[in-house]
Amino acid sequence: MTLNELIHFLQFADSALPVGAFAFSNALETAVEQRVVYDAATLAEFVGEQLRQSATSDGVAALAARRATLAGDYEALLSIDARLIRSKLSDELRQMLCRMGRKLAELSVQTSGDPILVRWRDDIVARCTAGCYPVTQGIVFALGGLDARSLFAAQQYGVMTTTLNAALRCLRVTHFDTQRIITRLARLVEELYEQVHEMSVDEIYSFAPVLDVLASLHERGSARMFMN
Amino acid sequence: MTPPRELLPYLRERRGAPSASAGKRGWLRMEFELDGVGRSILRKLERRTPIIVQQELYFDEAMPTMPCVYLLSSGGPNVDGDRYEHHISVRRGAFAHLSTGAATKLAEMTSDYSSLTQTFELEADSYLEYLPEPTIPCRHARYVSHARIVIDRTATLFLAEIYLSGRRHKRGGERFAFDILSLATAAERPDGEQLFAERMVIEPSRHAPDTLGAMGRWEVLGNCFVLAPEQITEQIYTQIRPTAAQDLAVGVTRLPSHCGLVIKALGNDTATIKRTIRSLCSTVRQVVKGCPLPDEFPWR
Repeated sequence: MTLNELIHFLQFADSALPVGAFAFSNALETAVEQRVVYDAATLAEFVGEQLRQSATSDGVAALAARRATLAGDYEALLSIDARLIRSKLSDELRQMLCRMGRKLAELSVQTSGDPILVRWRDDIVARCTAGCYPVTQGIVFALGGLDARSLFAAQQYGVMTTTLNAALRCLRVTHFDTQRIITRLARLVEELYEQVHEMSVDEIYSFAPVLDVLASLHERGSARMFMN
Repeated sequence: MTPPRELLPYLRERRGAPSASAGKRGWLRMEFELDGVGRSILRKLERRTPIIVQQELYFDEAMPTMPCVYLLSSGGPNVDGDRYEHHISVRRGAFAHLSTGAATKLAEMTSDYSSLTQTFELEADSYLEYLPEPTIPCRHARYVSHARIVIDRTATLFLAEIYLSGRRHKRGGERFAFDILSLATAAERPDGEQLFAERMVIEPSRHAPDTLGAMGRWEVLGNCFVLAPEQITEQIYTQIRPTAAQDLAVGVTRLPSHCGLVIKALGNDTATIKRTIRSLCSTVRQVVKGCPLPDEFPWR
């Protein structure tokens, strides 16, 4: 990786990237309220499960979007996006993917101005496509010349940091705890890449009924710090 | 049906009867329609062994013009190589209630897998309740199910399946000892518009399902879909209360494409989940047909 590519990678994997990740907790808020997550160990297990679930859906879509962008196949991007949003059965999860995806598209148009990104942003604004975050990530990484592994790492790292940053605000854990969790889960990300990198979007799956129930409780909750 | 990728490690040459051969490829085609006086009838029925369909009965006191049909299998539990297909159509304005006679057991499998492919076709203003008894995956069971729903914007479908973690009372308990379950449900409009696609793959040897976030401390999963016109699903949505209690957790959310709701119910006791699902079905029926579901028979 050249230094230029490395900087690109750091920029788009940064948890401070202004796409609004701080507004979401990936159902952690309710998990804490329901005492499903109550310390660093349960938090690590919770985040590990989120990585698994997102690898076989968002991760697969991001990798497919990168391939489609490299092939110059815009129609494929639209179909990947539609397939991903159809597989997201939680209302709040769909809102998160769409909001962050749109922000990333708007931001990337400012930084790169590539015609594919401009078209993608315009299609999102015109509601011609959902503009899911992982699909937009795939486009941005492809255009930035970054490889599939970096994309997958950024996608998974984003899931970790979104939840862990929320954890610092709604759970008694320290920065040391959250950093230890990231270090520990990095090995899992390696495993998950091997599992999903050849999957197509038609093979997207997930299985997390407890997360689904927590998301639903959040959707109907009254006092909320986060948007999911 | 080509087996999905996750089944590939489990495919071996069978030593018994070939997969999908006579007695192993059971199919069923049912069509419900309205007769001249507003009664819904089972107009067409074709089936092949080992699938059996009981005589339609009109035992539902709240909806005496609705046929209630039980699907059975003469083959006992599903074994490897079994390929079952259901094609269920509900014509314009017709309505029906479907269930199974007993729990579906997925037997231990040593080569290959068993599968169920279902198509539910619901025409304008039709109504279908599909509440089969639970599915019980035994040790080393491998199972692929694929439900395809083609539903008109004005029709209503209540589809609820229950999965147990295993034979929970067999020799001290069998929990998540099956090899793999690959369960897919997808819906579309008659014009081809795709609505949603859920695919759940559970492979305990790869990742234990009892982790926090997946099944956690729960052993029974109820997975329900309510597909109906948007104003109806909004009414139902407000009437279903998400729950997190000691013995039951229920979550409900809106499906993509404004096509309906998905409800997940988790418990440790099959009876609790069955009761919850009947109560959800009753809410749906009350909103759509103006009457509740009668009490379940005491022997069910």
